[in-house]
Amino acid sequence: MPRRIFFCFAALFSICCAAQAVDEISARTAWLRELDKAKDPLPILRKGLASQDPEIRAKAVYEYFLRRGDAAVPELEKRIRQAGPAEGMNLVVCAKMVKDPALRTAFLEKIARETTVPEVAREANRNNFPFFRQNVRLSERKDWDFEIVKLKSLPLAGGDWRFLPDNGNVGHLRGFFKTDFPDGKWTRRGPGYWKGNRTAWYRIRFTAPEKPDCNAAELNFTGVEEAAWVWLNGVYIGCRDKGPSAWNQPFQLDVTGEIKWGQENVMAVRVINTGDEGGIYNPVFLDILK
Amino acid sequence: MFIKLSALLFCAVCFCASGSEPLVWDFSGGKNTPRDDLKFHLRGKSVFQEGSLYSPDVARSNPGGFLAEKIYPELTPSGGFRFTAVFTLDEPRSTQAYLLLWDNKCDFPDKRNGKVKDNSGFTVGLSRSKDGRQFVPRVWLGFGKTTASVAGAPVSFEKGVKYKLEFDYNGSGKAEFFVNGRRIAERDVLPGGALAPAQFRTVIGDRILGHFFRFDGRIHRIELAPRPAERIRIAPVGRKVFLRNEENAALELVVQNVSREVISGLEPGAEKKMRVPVPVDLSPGTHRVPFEFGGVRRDLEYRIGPVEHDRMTVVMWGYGDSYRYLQDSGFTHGLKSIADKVFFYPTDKKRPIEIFQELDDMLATGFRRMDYFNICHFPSVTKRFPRLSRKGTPIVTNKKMNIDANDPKAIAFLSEIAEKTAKLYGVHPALVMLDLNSEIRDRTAPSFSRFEPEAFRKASGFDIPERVEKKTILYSTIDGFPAGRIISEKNPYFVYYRWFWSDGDGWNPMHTRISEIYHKHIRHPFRTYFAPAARQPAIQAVGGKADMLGQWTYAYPDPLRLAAAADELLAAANGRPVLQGTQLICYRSQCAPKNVKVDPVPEWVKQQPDANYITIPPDALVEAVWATISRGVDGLIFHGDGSLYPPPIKGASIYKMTNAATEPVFKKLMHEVIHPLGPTLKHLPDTDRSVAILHSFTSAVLAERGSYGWGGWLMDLHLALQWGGLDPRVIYEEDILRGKLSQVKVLVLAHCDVLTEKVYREIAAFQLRGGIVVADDTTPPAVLPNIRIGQVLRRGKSPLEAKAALTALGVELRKKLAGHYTPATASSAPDLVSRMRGSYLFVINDRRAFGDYFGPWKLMAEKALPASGTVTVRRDAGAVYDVVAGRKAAFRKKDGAIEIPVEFSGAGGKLFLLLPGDFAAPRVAYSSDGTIMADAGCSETVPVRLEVRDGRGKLTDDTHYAAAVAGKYRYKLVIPADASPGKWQITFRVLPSGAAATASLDVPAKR
Repeated sequence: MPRRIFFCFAALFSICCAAQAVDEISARTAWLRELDKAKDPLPILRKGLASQDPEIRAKAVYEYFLRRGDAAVPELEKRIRQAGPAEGMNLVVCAKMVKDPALRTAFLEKIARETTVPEVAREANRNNFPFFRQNVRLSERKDWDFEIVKLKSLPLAGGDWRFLPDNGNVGHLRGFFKTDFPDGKWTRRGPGYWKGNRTAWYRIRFTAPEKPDCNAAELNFTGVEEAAWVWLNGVYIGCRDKGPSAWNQPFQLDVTGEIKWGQENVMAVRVINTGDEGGIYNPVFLDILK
Repeated sequence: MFIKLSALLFCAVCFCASGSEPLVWDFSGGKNTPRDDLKFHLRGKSVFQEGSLYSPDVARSNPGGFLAEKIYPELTPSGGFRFTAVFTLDEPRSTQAYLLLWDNKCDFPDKRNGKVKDNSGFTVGLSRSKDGRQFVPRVWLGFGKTTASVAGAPVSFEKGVKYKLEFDYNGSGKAEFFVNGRRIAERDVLPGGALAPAQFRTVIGDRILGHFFRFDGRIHRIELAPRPAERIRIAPVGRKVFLRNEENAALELVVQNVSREVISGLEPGAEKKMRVPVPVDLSPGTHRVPFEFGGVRRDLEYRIGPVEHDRMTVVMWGYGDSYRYLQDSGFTHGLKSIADKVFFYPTDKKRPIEIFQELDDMLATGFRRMDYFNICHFPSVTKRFPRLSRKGTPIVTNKKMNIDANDPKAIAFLSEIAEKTAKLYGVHPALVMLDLNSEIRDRTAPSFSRFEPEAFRKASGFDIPERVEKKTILYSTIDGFPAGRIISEKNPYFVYYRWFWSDGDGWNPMHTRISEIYHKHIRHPFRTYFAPAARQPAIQAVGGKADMLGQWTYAYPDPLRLAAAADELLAAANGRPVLQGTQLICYRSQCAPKNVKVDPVPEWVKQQPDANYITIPPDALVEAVWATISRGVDGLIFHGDGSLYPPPIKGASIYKMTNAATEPVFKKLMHEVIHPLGPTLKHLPDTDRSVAILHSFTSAVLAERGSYGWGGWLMDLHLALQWGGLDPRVIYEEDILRGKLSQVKVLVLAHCDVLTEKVYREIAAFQLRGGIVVADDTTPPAVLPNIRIGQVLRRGKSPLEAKAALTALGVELRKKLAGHYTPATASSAPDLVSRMRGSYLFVINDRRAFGDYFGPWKLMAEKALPASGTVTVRRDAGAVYDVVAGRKAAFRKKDGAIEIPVEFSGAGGKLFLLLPGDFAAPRVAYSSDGTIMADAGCSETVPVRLEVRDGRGKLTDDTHYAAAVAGKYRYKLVIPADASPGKWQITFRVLPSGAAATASLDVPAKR
């Protein structure tokens, strides 16, 4: 008997889930139709802002901002903590559209601080971060249809590293990445874990070999906990920012255009860690590919 | 060009006729022997002096001259010949009666003794008149039992003056003498015929034995050339093969007068082109047609190839030496460039002959050739017309450049090559397709030479936007880009990239130009083709006015990718016919990496340890082909013959054949599925799909998205939907703007980061009408999807884990859509992938595991597993037929739908035909006007086979597969004029049912 009751409940639960899914599809269409027909959309948008459906809320946030502009910011700021992923991302979009620069920056920083969704925090930070680049590796190029061979993998020497904590997270604004930044007073410290810092910077000077016969060069990070932003010779290369779960995943960044063959190169890395221990904990290599 | 070609053919005919080339001793040029194996040495006191052979005055008993080291058979011509000597006479230094130029006969007068030794070979010389002022050229010819003594007319040869003496023997009984080109005598030669092979070594400038008669002068040159017996040379040029019943079939000949007199108005040495109509109402095979000119009669040989029938094109892209092994495997076309031969060897005479020979053979056997206009890839060309960066430097991508296709000089250069190629080879009906500049857009890039900036300014009214460097751009790098990512169609970056990918980079207009040039010169059915059409941002302005488009991809890790790639290609083509390609090669590094050790090591690794490009697994190939033909493609294309055939069938190649099971499987598939069903598959509709994935051009150019017919999330999503039984199609933004969303019920947006306002409005209107939007998390914030999905990433997952995750997504989506949208088919297991095309149901088995070929590396589950289940089709039917098996299939009705049990023992697919009722009995009749009229017994388009057997019971070339459109088929049967008489049998077989009808006709003995 108990088994039969269990299966009845399970079936009923499935029907309810399916019914809920059906409702969502129809409900969203219904709300869109309401919005489309309304002479004054604001009441419909406020209804959307209060909806149980997170996707409707997300859309309502965006449409609400489109109609009210900067004046909507105080109201939207109150939604940050409760906002789920879709709504949170739309809050970031709205923040980017704020006309007042100071208000824009403040809104983005508030989202980054108060959101409970890591991806939303990262997106807010990224939009407050003045560097961006989509790093495309040779293996990711859509027009590359050839075998790739790693000709050489040169370790970046362990001893010439410099290290500086940056818990105020201002290093990128102060040019810690610039080639000629004076790092003489930084701690001499190579790869390894740190404790007690959220953000820190590494700098290393290394000499690349003479230009080989190759198609690409990559920086190969075999272990960084957890997120890293990389510059080479003052040029922003890219980042790996996938949250704490990526702590043990190696990553590579293409530096074909930035590497100076046969000369000294300066690499700077900002590392952010949200846990106890962080940093570049495994060697970094310069990979030469063909 | 034509005259030069014909001259070469003359030489070919001439040499073929006599079997040897002229032998030249050019002492003035230092060429003392015509060939290294013909060894001569100076004899006595003879020397080479001032570019001539000179024998000083010596007693008659002292030999001189230039003596062969042994008897060389080729120094006695076997038929007609021409002997030429260039000499200068000195002041007479002797009183000898003869000055011999050549001797291998020894006893030059006729001894009338019937002895072969005394009557073999030939001798040439001058006899001196008694007063020494004149000389008579003489030749003694040995015919085995007798000698013919042939004398010219007396000639006064001045001392110190160079003369040319020629002796022509026609090989049958006539001879002529010429001095300095003027004929001085014509003589009969008795008994005539072929000379007897010389019994002595040859000596130039003296006699071989006995009393010696050195040449009292200087010999500058001796030439012994074959001379055909004819005065008229006839050489067919161009085609020698015609299709049966081809219109206006005619051999083209070049007729040359090789005599010294006018023949039928043709001057000596002149040639003219003539057309000789040939009867092609005969059976396929070799035939002869009589020809006569100037009294010379010749039977000209030609061949008739089989009549052409409709079929599905199966191309091998690139092949080695012979196409015969391709044909045996089931290919119908082979691609090999002709244009590059015209480019690299513009004056070569041999290659055109070889190419025409191959085209003739192809026409005779039913195979066809595809040309490849690949000139644009050659470094010597690209560096002449490079694309330039903003800095003015040539743009180099992976060490290669791309032509600035807007450069008028580049256009003119390439057009000229296209003209030459099409003009010369376009006459041949075996050349039926042209691949235009394959892959050329992989390296295209905005070019800042003056052409593109000027053209863009003219088209748009403003300059190329400042951040433009590459062929796509990331919107986040553009200052002021709308945060909501819905942009106006007037956005300058959108305007630029739309222009660039339409006509802007010059490639589409270039394809159009070359396509038009070829079509201009080609009268028979001919199609131009561009690929890969989906390996670029998703825009329908691709390939210019190419007649067909193509795409290819790899069948790993999931062979169903071919269906996704085909759908992208169909979207790009917008109604143009398409060829979808499967790579026969696999990258070793992606399937069985060398640096990953496995245990046990498969045998193929031990045999080919260094192979980098290896053979596609047979099961993957079968599934890939079924996935492809489940879509509305017009043909198939494959690449990598080196991975299909081992040496020596295929010569040296970087592609290695590592799985011998693949080719037999391919052959079976072609002969059992593609050839029989191909004509019908081309007729089946493929428009009634309600789930569409948008491939956004705007996101491709401004967010660097796109599957490019290759892979990534967009292609994986397509797979997920296939596994979920949702039968997706691909649509482009142009389709949306043309109102095609009215045919769609579920629109899937993935990687659609940026949309134009117009496209967004159409999507919004679609939703308001009740359409369902499914979107991932990249869509602009203005889009409220009815269903939100997360991206499923492959990273960190094995291929089967990724498949499981994607399958779960597809299945989940189907469940969520229940109540709003129900697909036409449902399978009891996701691995049984099904879809409808018209009344046809495709079911593909995708149940796979890691085998022992790639399996040890766990990068591809390459082995198909048995699978069984049920496919439900939401429609009524009274009968279901298994089309490939050719019989009825079991099914049951349930709630307005039908359920079909399916079972697979391994890789493959099934094709079922759903009909309201059983086939009626087929019927076939032969009418008096020669038309075969057949009825398949249903109103659907069905695959059929028509067999025609002649009076001897042999299948004729009228036998073929076909599509009976709406159940009817008509075929005009033209009986060859030389057909074997008797009762001819016609069999009309309906492939899905296996039923057949027969008819017969009586062919009389004399026609």
